Amino acid sequence: MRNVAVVGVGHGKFGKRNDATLRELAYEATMPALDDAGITQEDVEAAVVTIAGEEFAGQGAPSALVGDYTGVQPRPVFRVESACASGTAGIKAAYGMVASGLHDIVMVIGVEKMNAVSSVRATELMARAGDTRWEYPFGVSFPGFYALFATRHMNEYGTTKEQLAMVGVKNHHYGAMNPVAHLPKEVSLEEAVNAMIIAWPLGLYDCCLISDGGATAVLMSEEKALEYTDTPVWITGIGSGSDTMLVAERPSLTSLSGAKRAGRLAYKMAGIGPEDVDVAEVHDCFTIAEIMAYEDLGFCETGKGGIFIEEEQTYIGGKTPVNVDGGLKSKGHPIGATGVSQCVELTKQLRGECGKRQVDGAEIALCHNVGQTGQFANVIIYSREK
Amino acid sequence: MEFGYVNWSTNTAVVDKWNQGLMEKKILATKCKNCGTVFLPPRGDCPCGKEDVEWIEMNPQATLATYTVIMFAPESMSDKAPYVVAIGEFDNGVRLLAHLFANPNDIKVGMNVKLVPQQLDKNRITVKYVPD
Repeated sequence: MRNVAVVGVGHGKFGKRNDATLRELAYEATMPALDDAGITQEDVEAAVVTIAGEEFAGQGAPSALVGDYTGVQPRPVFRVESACASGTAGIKAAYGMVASGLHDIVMVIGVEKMNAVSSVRATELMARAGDTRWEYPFGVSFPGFYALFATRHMNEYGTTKEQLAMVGVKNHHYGAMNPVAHLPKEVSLEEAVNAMIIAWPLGLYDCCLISDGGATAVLMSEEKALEYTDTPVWITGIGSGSDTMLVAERPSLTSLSGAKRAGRLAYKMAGIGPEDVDVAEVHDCFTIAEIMAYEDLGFCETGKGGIFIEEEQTYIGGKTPVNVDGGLKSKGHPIGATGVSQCVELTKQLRGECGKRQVDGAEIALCHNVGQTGQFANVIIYSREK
Repeated sequence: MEFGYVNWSTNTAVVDKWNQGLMEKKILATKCKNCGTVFLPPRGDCPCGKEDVEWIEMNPQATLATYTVIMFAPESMSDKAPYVVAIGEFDNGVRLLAHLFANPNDIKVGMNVKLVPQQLDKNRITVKYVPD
């Protein structure tokens, strides 16, 4: 297998983008990525497009549209889908094509247009990712599934609603410094704790946003990477896992077993442990998801995730800074774009380009991207060293 | 007979049998004759692939493993919100998700509940937990 590096990244503005359709959101992220890599579409051999649901965009076979509008054609394009983990699944597919020697330069375009439908409709479409025969018929919203984990976590480990809210407060703190964030504003703990309940115990500030937006990354073989850049960001570990379709059947109701497996395998491949991670992006679709991620990835002990955020260990200056771009909570969560957006942020962190949000001297970064309620999970380790 | 408040899946023989059980006030599950895994909701096939499954009747008593109160519901259920979604754990270790009909202030993880069939209209049936 050949070494693979991220050489170019681009990020569009996340938000309620009534000014842009799916194709334009993809374009907005892709042109800067090509520029950043110092290449044109002529150099790209293939593109992987990650879009979670065509129902949101109202476009069948949407990767063809994205490939056309971003100028990829006549080079091949295809779509990879793993719900909210689509972005990292696309990076994994691109990594495989480059590492194997099939291609030297592959682009991953993650994009989603969610606000073409109402929020109650979007809640409906996301709920259908639950088992449509046995769990969807009970009207379990996406926040509802994570609320089931939250209730159990609170009961088993004494995690509090305030600790959940602290995750949202942190992510909004950093999102306020991120120009591409959907909701770049600070939120107080009081506001977060007392916000309208969506699915008890999760309130408005425990839940990620319904966003539009795109993010693009250009991956290259070692030989090409060294030709185009002095600051390649190497992919040194990838691990993946899955979990039961029925949430009731989960081996644990306080942990995502697929995400745990993904972390273990990624650490092993990269030859590192959780203590080596300088900065992380984790899938905070809900505040409880970030707390479970701290534990599943070994940043803290099982059951101690609530205390870990209360001690501010995931702020810059703490043990493991997490989601210092605002996370899904404040930066936003255009589903198919998220895993690629995490790659963009970590690439910039490792290059030292994040300004006020920079984790000084970051050498090793971890990305944790979860699909549905854990049915898909990918962990990717990015590093300055091969 | 259709299962659940909303759905659009095809009724297979497994679903028909489950619905029939509910109409007879029984909670049915399937069990693999080879590895003994119990499936609730029922599956017609076991991933072990070695043997057929057989139907068994569940003891409907369970303990509450976790719950949530859905305030903002998916479009198809928005006229029914708020409602309590719960996961119960049965004596044989299997768990099932359904609504819990109880005052949210009286709900505690670990409380005893019972899974009972509920006829919604003449063509539709579901299950619900009630305090036991």
